[in-house]
Amino acid sequence: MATEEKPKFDVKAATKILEEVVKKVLKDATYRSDLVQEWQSAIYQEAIARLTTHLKGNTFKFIVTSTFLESIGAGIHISSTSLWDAESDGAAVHRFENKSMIVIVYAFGLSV
Amino acid sequence: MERGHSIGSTASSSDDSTSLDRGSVTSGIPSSFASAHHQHQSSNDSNSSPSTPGGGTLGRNSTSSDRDSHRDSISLRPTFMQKFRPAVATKFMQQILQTHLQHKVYNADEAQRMSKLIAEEVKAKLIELDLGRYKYVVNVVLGENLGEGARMDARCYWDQESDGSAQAFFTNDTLWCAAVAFAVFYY
Repeated sequence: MATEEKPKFDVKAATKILEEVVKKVLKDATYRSDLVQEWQSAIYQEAIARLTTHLKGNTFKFIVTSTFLESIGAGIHISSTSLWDAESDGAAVHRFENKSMIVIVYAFGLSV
Repeated sequence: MERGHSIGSTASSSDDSTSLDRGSVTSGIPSSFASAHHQHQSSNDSNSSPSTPGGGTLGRNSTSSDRDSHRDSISLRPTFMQKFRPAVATKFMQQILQTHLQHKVYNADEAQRMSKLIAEEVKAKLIELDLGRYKYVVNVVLGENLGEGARMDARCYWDQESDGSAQAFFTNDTLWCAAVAFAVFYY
């Protein structure tokens, strides 16, 4: 077994990155179904770029998921479960809410 | 012991996504993790076949690249039989959603429990597939159906040849549910 140090997915840093990215992309926008795709692409682009530079991108694979919902009082629940190496892998979430929409962004980092 | 990873630019190619009308789950796999895996020649004897697959000692050594489909050698890619096949997963995910949510009405208390249950069940089924070298992440979103606009998407930075994802969506009069499973190969 290789005894090299295993890099651990830094959840705090990732959460911060997600927060910054969402704030930057959405600012104070109102929900518009035609813009959602654009926002999502922008979030992914930015998030993955930042994650790969900050979190030792060459030892992690990333999955970034986002869910955009129009805020009309509907309830929602999100669950996530995984089978991974608890020492090195991790997940970060960020929830963004404003008057018109709810945005939940997940970032999963799995070590190679 | 370098593995010669060269991460190509993450140019986003097209996602092959099935976007449903509302609450679309588009699990795109655009960014390809362009890693050039240099398989090193094992210096001593090239006949040494390290332990069998199934997760044993997954060291960072690779055997000679000449005979890369030898069953007992450690390969840096899954063979066809060991590969995650999204179609299989999609099928049982759809079934799981159907059985659990068919006649249900959205209930805030139940919903939390239900989404967790569905996620756990999907994960259990994935483990049953017995693909030894895969890590899984399952995400389930359960929402109340009030006609709101919703969109769920994902983008991954991984190795397109070995990793994959599967998704399923269910909706009825009072609720909608989207489940997505990601399978990431562990080298």
